[in-house]
Amino acid sequence: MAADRTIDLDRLSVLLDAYGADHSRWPEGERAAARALIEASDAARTLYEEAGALDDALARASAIEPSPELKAEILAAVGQPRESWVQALWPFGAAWKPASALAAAVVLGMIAGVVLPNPFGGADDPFESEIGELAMSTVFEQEGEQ
Amino acid sequence: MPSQIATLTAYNPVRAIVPGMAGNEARAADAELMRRVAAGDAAACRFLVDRELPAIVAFAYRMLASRSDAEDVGQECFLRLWKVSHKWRPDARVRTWLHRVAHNLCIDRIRGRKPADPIDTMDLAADEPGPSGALQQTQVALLIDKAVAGLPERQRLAVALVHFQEFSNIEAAKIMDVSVDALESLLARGRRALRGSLEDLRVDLLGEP
Repeated sequence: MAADRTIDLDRLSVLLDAYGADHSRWPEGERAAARALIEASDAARTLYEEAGALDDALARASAIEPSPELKAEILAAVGQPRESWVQALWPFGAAWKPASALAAAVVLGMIAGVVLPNPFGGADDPFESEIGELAMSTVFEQEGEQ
Repeated sequence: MPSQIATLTAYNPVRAIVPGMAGNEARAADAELMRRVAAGDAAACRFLVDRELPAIVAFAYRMLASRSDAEDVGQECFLRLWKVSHKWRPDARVRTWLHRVAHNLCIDRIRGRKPADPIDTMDLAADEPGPSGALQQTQVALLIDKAVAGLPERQRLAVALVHFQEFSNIEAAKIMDVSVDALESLLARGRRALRGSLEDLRVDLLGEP
């Protein structure tokens, strides 16, 4: 805990502006000094009373209570099965839709690989063979030099 | 923190109470409670709902100025709590965790609202008929609710956490993920704005001319 320190009227004003007149809300390290200043200074006491008036007003805000139906619904949800890993991956509804799309994409990819010509040329493409040989020879040469 | 404390906390949260560590006993109690929740203990769940739901709904109401939205947020918070119960971290506080989740849910809802939605069309607590004095109190309460609801989002959050939910400045700053100085600044601006907007209610609130 920070040690109590002396505070001036400006700092007290900031404290009261922020936390109001309830001592328990003030930072622990400044409580004693703030109370001492309020006891010693008329100006400090005026600021303190103004802050207290706003606290009193805020205390008159509506207080709402959760309905019994809400409590019942929350308690009824206890122990419901946890979501499966499939639901965690696809939380948007039935998982068969994305699974079907994925399977269809795999099948189409395999068919395309067998039926369609290789757009980058085949193994008998002299240009590709040359590029491959050049690349590998560089590697082997570098390794051989070390 | 010494590593030994972390080890003890992980293995035996109930007994790992270290004197002088603020909130450690409460964290251990929460960890034990969540262990029972994860095991499906109905009494523990009911205890937790009774203890925390009113605060969460009140907080969400302060942020959203709508009872139905506040109850929706309260329900969603607890559904998420049930889901994480089996992997609860013993160094966490249930109340802080719930407020953090509620905070995120409230921000999502506020940002999802149409900009043209005026605050006074929201269902601020119903104006129930009753004795004349009670009606006066209800009206004053609604005006204060409206003044709080009219604060900018971050100021409203700071005021709600510290003045209505009774969090310490350190806890509130942690929930908001800001420094204590930043929280103090938000609180001060929020309270000054409230003082200004409630000035017209001085007679009703304070009995002053």
